[in-house]
Amino acid sequence: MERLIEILEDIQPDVDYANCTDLIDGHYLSSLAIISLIAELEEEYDITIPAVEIVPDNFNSAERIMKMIERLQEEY
Amino acid sequence: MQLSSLLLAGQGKSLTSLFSLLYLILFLPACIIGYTVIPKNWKKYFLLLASYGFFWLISGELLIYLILTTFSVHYFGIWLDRINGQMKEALAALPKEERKGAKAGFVKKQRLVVALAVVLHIGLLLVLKYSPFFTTNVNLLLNKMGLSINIEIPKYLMPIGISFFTLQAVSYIVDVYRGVTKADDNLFRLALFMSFFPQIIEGPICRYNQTAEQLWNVKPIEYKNLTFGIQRILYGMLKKIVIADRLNLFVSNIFDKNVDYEGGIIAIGAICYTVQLYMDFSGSMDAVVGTAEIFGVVMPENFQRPFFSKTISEFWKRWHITLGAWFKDYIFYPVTSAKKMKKLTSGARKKLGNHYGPLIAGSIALFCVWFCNGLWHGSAWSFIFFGMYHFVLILIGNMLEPPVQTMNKKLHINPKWFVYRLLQILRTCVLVVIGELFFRARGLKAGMNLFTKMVSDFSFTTLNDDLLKTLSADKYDFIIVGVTLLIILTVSILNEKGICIRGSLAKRNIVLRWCLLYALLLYIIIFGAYGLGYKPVDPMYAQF
Amino acid sequence: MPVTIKHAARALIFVGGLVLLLFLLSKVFIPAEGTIDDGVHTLHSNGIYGEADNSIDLVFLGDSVVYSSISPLQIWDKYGIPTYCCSTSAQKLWYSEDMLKKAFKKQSPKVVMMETNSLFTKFNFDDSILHKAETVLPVLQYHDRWKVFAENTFDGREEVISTNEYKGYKLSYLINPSENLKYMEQKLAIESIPSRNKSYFKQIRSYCEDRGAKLILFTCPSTKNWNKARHDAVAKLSEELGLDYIDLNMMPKDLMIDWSKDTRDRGDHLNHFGAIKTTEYLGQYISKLGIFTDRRNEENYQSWNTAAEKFIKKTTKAMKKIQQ
Repeated sequence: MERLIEILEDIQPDVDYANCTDLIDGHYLSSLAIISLIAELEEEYDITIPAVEIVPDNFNSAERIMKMIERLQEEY
Repeated sequence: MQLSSLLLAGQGKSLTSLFSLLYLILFLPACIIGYTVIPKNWKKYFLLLASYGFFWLISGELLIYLILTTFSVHYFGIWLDRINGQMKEALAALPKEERKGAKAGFVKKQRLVVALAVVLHIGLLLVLKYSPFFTTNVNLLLNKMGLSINIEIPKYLMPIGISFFTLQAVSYIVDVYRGVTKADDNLFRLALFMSFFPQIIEGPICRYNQTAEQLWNVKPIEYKNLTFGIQRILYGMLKKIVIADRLNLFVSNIFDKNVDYEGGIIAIGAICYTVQLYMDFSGSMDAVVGTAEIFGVVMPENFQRPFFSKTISEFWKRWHITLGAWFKDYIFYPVTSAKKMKKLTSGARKKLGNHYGPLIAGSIALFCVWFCNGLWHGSAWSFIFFGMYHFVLILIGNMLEPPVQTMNKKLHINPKWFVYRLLQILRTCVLVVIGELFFRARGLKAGMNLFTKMVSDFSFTTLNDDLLKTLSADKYDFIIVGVTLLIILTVSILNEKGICIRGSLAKRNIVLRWCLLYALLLYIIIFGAYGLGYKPVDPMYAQF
Repeated sequence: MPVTIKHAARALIFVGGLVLLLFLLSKVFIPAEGTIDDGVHTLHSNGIYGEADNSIDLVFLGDSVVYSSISPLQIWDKYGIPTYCCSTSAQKLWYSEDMLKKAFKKQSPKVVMMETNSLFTKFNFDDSILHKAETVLPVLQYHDRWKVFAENTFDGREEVISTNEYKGYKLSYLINPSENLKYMEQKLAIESIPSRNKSYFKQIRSYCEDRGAKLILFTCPSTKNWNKARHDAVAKLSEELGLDYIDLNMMPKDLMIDWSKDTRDRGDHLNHFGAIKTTEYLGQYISKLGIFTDRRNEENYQSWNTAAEKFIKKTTKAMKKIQQ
């Protein structure tokens, strides 16, 4: 989790990632930030994030992002 | 006069829009009554029947395209589902280490099926919509090369709404493939999702997850939904009949006649066209959403007060929202998520930083989106130019974002300052109007000429009552358009602040409510642009 | 809350109230008969209002090809038969019916000659339902007159329509030749007249019958609007209904329309040169019907003599200039 927040802060600083729950809907993360984020996450966690996963629901909070990562890691 | 003769076929289209009298005083009321009296379990089939009846009234035999599309996506969906089932079975039998490799094979197969479906449906749209454009350009090219071969330019009858329902069909197939939704084993449910009558002409483009279940599990009509829906339709009529149709003759006189107007007049024409397009399209959407609301179905909104946008990018998130969302989900993210693109992004980010790093992949994806967006609107170079125009504007906006931010900081300008925001909104509106000028002009060349003229000769010396008269307008037309726009602006500001007018109205007493409704109706009837001296205007987005 | 009978009843009352309001508004919006506003969309054809009571013996009904092809003053000059062109551009049949009723209000023509092009002009449910509603609630037709009220010139004494100086004819000297000379050669099978149009046409026929007027069908020369398929359809219809029909496109030898100079817009409409020929032909035709008397010496028609004299003088001069 800490590593994730580090990545997030590296991409888009000045957001309270620990508590924010509307990263997308509140326009904290732009679509460019999402593009960066996906590339970073894939490298860091050795997963593939398909386009279908790119929905606000998966990115609205650090917790949701983590859940998605764990889910994708578990998939065979 | 026997009433029966009213319903006789007059040949050609009998129904053209949700604002035609045939729809408003006959079709819709008959649907509401029929829907109410039919037993609950049959209501959904009634809606399906009404939807096909509606499409028949608009397009006649071309209904076959809709039916074929529905059949096709239904079976493609089932096919994908079957592969998925086989995959699960096969994988369960394998040890964990071998699963990954085995899965890839199935996914490949699924991808092929999706590709086949997409090629088929988009291909049909391409053939029907773009082959005249394509052959014309091939002929031109051949002639340029000195070959005197002329391919005959094909002309197909295109069913109304095909640009919209094809996108719905593709989104369904891709959603099934992605596992966002399960393949629908009920042909009728899918058919109703594809054909629901209010949205068939001009959208909104719905996803299967948004409306299919709602439509299938329809409930009896609620009093509140009925009144809210009717009010929403009336609001749409106000936009369409009082404003859009009133501007129609004026706009077409400026754009369609080969008369050399001075720049100021062209600018007024471009502004009027932008207003006309917005009022026409968003008014129609009000009628669509209102109609759906009557039956208790919540449709996605297509507009969110776009002219309050501060940037072009924001404008496109508020104008024709469902189309933008479609492009985002099925073109933008798939392009940026391609393996090579991801590599490009992470590499570039290390060198160029957080802003410009992802911008390269983003811009490539954005280019694809705007190329398709332009082409989707029509098969002509002017539409492709329109797409590229907005692509470049958004690109410039993205490039300039960091320097503008630093500049603002240095100059101590607060971006939330009212005047600053107002200037941003104004700038966005001007850019949009210029885009619409090209969009409306009869071809790219004509657009260029109009634009050059507008910039080089910006004056209003010839603007007087006589000129207006030759443009089939007078000052009263502009006064009533202005007054009505003020009414709509007020409503928009209230909506922007999150105030629900219909809700607070419903709490008032019946006398006030009726007076307001009567006022609105009489306003539309007296100030509407219909009857002798006006030409009925087909919904503008139906031709795209 | 589901919808109840109470709601339905309330809705009915609401609609009733709306109709009542529109009815009252109609009183305000309906213009006085025979005023400019009454015929504001079609001043030239509404000029028939300005004619003396029962002075017109024949009316021509139809769309723009009629006022481009027939000059009543020329017929008057030669045969002394007072006629009038009740034609408006792109006239649809429901409007023809209206026009006819207007004409019969103060006139009792013995013959109605109806041009056949409008039999094929399509109109839809909205057109006809709006038209029906307009007859009950005229505010729907005259709603645009809020502009007149806004103009502030409205003081209850509106300007009365004067007669049209050419009796509904529209003069044009423009020449834009047509190259479509084989337009009457058979290409398509018979074109069917839309059933909604047929039903309106039958109404027009019975209206004429009830008032003792003879209805004759005719077709003006036009390479753009006419063809053999349409001719066949009208010929069949007229036979069915026992009506006389003359198609001026079918007699090129007697009529001698020269499409290189008798049309103003590439065969869509005739110009004055073509109109002279058509009018002459039709004038002869109607004078031979044996229904009309020559009124040129009647005292009440002296204004027609003056108008015709002026018209002939003016047009002859203008034509000479063009031909030079």
